[in-house]
Amino acid sequence: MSLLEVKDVTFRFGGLAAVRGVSLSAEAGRVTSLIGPNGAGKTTLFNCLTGLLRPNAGRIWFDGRDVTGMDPHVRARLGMGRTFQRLEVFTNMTVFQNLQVAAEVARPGRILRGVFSLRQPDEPDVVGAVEETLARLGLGWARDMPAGELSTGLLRLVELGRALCTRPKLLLLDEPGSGLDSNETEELRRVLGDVVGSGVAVLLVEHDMELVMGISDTVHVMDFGSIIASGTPAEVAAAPAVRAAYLGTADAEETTAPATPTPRRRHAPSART
Amino acid sequence: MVLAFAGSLWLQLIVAGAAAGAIYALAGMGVVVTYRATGVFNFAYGAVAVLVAYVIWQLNAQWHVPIGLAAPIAVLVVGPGLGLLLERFVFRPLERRGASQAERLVAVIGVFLLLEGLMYAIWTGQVRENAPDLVSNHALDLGSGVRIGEDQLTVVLVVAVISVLLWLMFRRSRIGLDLRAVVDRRELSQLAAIDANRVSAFAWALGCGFAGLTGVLVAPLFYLDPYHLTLLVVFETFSVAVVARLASLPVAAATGVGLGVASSLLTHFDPRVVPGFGFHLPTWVTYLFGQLEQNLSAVVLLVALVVLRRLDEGGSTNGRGGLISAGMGGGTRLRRTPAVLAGLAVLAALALPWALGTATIGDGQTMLAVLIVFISIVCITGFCGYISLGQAGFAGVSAFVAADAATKFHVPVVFAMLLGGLAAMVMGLLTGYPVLNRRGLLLGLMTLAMGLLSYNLIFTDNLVVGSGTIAMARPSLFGLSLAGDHAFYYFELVWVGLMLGLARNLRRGRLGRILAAMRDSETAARSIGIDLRRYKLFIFSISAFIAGIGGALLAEQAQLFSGLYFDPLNTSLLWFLVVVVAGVGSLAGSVVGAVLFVMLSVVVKQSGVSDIVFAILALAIGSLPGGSLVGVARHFWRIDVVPKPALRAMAAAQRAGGPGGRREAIGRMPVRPRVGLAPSALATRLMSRAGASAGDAGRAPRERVSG
Repeated sequence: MSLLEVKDVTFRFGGLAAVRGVSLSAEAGRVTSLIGPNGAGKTTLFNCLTGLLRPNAGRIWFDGRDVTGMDPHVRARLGMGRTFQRLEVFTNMTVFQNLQVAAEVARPGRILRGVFSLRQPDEPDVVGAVEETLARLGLGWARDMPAGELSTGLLRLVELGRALCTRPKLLLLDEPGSGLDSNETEELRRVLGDVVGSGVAVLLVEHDMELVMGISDTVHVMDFGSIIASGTPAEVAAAPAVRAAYLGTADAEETTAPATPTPRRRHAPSART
Repeated sequence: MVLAFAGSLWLQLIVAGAAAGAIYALAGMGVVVTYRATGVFNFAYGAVAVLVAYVIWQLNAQWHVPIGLAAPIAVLVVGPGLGLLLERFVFRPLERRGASQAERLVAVIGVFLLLEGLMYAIWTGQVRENAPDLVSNHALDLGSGVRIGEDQLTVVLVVAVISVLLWLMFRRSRIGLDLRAVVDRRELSQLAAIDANRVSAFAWALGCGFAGLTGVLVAPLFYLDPYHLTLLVVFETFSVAVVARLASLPVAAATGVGLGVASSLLTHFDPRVVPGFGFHLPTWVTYLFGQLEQNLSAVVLLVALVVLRRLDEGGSTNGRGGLISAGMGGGTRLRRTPAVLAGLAVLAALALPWALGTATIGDGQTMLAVLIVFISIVCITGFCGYISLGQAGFAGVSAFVAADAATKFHVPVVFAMLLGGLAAMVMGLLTGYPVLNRRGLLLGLMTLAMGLLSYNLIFTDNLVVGSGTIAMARPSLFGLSLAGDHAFYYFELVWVGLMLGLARNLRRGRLGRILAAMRDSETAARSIGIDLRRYKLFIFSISAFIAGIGGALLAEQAQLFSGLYFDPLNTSLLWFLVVVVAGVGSLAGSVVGAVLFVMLSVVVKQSGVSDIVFAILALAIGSLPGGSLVGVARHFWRIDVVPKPALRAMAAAQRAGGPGGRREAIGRMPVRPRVGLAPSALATRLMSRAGASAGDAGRAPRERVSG
C-alpha cells in the first residue's frame, strides 16, 4: 500500500461538488503532482486530505491508517505536513520561531510543565534542526526577521521550512511556486529534489508547468472536481482530455475521455507570459 | 366559559408580546443594518437608545417641550446626528488606517462606555418613572375581549412600515445597492465612483436613528435608568441580531417578535401545574422558569452563539498593533530600561503602604486585586487574541464561592480562595468549550452573555446570595492573621507576584510559541500538529483562574461579597477597556492600567467620569504610535519589541539591496534532472495558461461560461 491512498473522495459545498470521486496515491520518495485550472478542486482536495474539511464520501489512508475522520493536528503528527496557497504564516513571530514552534510540536515534551518552571531555555536539538532547515532553504540571513515583513516568495519558503520542521512523511504543497521569482523557483526546485531524495512523499499542486513537468513522477489533471487524466508528465502532456481542459471547446469533440465534463471554460488571455 | 376566558388571556398575551417584540425587532434590524453596511457590530446600540430616551425625557418631562416637537428632535435629529458624529470621528479614522476587527470592537465598546458615562454624569443613576409616551395607551378592543393599547398598535404599525421600507431599500434603491457594494469591497466600490464615506455615514445615521426610536419606544414600558434599561436593550438587541446571523433583516424581525411573544407568555405561564396533567412540579422547576423568563434574551443569545454554524465575521480578525503582544515566545531577559522600570515598580509597590494612610490603604489593596484581574485579561486577549468581555464574571464567581466556602462552611480563607479560583476555572471551561471555533466579536458576545448570566443567576439572586451580600473574612496563614491592612496588602502583593510569574511563563518557551502561533493562524497551527481545542481550553481556564484569584481578593479586601462589584456591563467592559488603553499586549499594561484605574476612581468620585476618561482614551489611543499607553512609552523611550539582532539583520539586508548571501546558494544548487521532457508546443501553452491563472493567487471566483 502506498503512503497515501485516497479512494473516491467527494466534497460538496452545498449543491456544488467541488471534488467528486477522486482517487489517487502518493509514494514515498516520489513527486505526485496535481494540475488543473483554478477552481478545479485541487485546494479543496488538499483540505480534505489534511482534515480541514470532512469529505462527504470516500476514504483516506495514510501510512497504513484510515485517517478519514481524524482532526488536522492528529494527521499532522502522523506525518502530514502542508503549505498553503493563501499564505498562513505566523506573522507576529520571527522566521526562526515559525520553524521552531513546528519543530517543537513534532518532538515530545512536557509543555505544561513550563508553566511552573523558572527557566525555559531553547532546546538544543530543536534549534539545531531549525538552523539546518533555514540553511537548506537559504533563509539563514532572515532568521530573526518578523515574518510579517517578508515578501510573498520568502514566506512560501518559510511555510515550506515550517512544514519540513514537522518531520513529515508526506508533504502537501499548495502552489509553492506562485509569487516566486525565477531564482526562488530554482531554489524551490533544488529543495524539493533534496526532500524527495530523503524519502519524503510530495503531493504538489502547482501552476508552474516547467516545475511540475521537471520534477514529477506522476501527474494527475483535475477539472471540475474530477481527475480527467493521470500518468507520467509526458503522457499527461499528450492526453487529449488535458488538451481539452486547457485549450477549450474547439478540441472537445476530439476527446475520448468519458469523464470530460461540459461546458468548457473560458480562459481569458493574459498579458503574463 | 373558563376555556374561552383562558383562550382570550393567551391571545391577549400574544398581542402584548408581539407589540413588545416589535420593538426588539426594530432594535435587531438596526444592528443588522449597521453591520451589513459598515462591518461594525454596533455594540453601543443600547446606550444610544437609552441616551435618546433620556433626551426626550429631558425635553418633555423637564423642560415641558410638547411631545410633538420633542419626539422628532430626539428621534430624527439626536439619534441620526449621533450616528453621523460616530462615523465621522470614530469609525472613518479607523477605516482609514485599516484597523482590525478587534480594534473596531474596542472602539464600539469605547463608544458604549462613553455614552454610559455621559448618562451617569448628566442624569445620575437615579431611576425615572415618567418617560413620556409618544401615543396614549388608551386601549382598543379587538373583539372577543382582546385589547391592544393605541401605543402598542402604533409600535407594531411603525415597525412593520419600517421593515418593509428597509427591505425595499436594500433590494431596490440605489443607496441599498451602494451599501452592499461598500460592504463587499470598500476600495473597489470607491473605484466605481461610490462615495464609501457617505454610504457609511448614511448607514450609521440610519442605525443610530433606529436605536433612538427603540429607546423612545421602550422607555415608557420600563423605568428610565442608565443601567437596567441599557442592559435590557443590549441583550434583546444582540440576541435578535445574532439569531439573524448579523445578516438577515426578515429573520431579525421575526426573531424580535418571537422573543417578545415568548417572554410575554412566560410571564403568565404557571409551571407549577402542567397543563392537561394537573400534577405539581417541584419548586426548583418553577424557579427555573422564572429565571428563564427574566434571562430569555441572554439565554437565546448563548444558544444562538453555540448552535448557529457559519456565523462568520468579515474582515481580518487579527491585526497588528496595540492589541497584540509582540514579544511572545521569545527570550525572557529584560533589556535595561524596562528592567529598571520594573525594579522601580517593585520598590514602589513595597513602599506604598507606608505612604498611604489608614483611609487610603484600602485603595492600594483594591489596586492589587484589580491588577490580578487585569493580568488575566492580558493573558487571554493580549497573548492569545481572544476577546473576553466576561472576566468580571469569572472574578465574581470565584469571589462568591470563596465567600460562601469561608463563611458558611468555615473553610480557611486561603483554601477558599483556591476553591474560588477552581470554580472560576470551571466556568472558564464552560464558556470556552461551546465556542471553540469562535473568535473575535462572537467570542466577546459569548463571554459577555456568560457574565450577565452569572450576575443575574448567582450574584444578585436572592435564593443564592440571600440579602445581596455575603460576609468575607481576611485570610490567616499558619495561625498568623493577615487581617491587618499592611499584612493583607503584602499578602496580595505575594499573589500579584505569583500571578505575574505565571503569566510570564505562559508567554515563554514552547507554550508561548504555541499560543502565539494559534493567535496568528489557527489553520496553520493545526497543520503543524497543534491541538487547538486543548490549548484554547487551557488558556481559558488559566485566565479564568487568575481572574478568580483577583475576584476573591477583592471580596477579602472589602470583607464582603457583593455582586455589584462584578456587573457585566459597567465593570466588566470598563476593566477590559482600561487594560486595552494601558496596553493589553504586555504585563506592564496590566500594572499601568490598575494604577490609573484606581487613582482615577480615588481622585474623581463622581460616577461616570472614569468611564468617560477611559472611553475617550480608548477612542484616541489607537491612532498613536504603539497603540496603548505602554506602547507609546515604549515608542518614546525606543524600547524595541523586535530584538536588536533582527533589526541589524534587516538593516544589513536593506543595505545589500536585497537578501544577502543567497546568490551563492543558488550558484551551487544541483538541479535534479528527472524527466527528460522536451517542451512540446502543448507544454508551452500549458505553461502560459497556468501562468495566467497563477497570477491571481486563486482568489478569483470560479469563472464559467454558462450555456
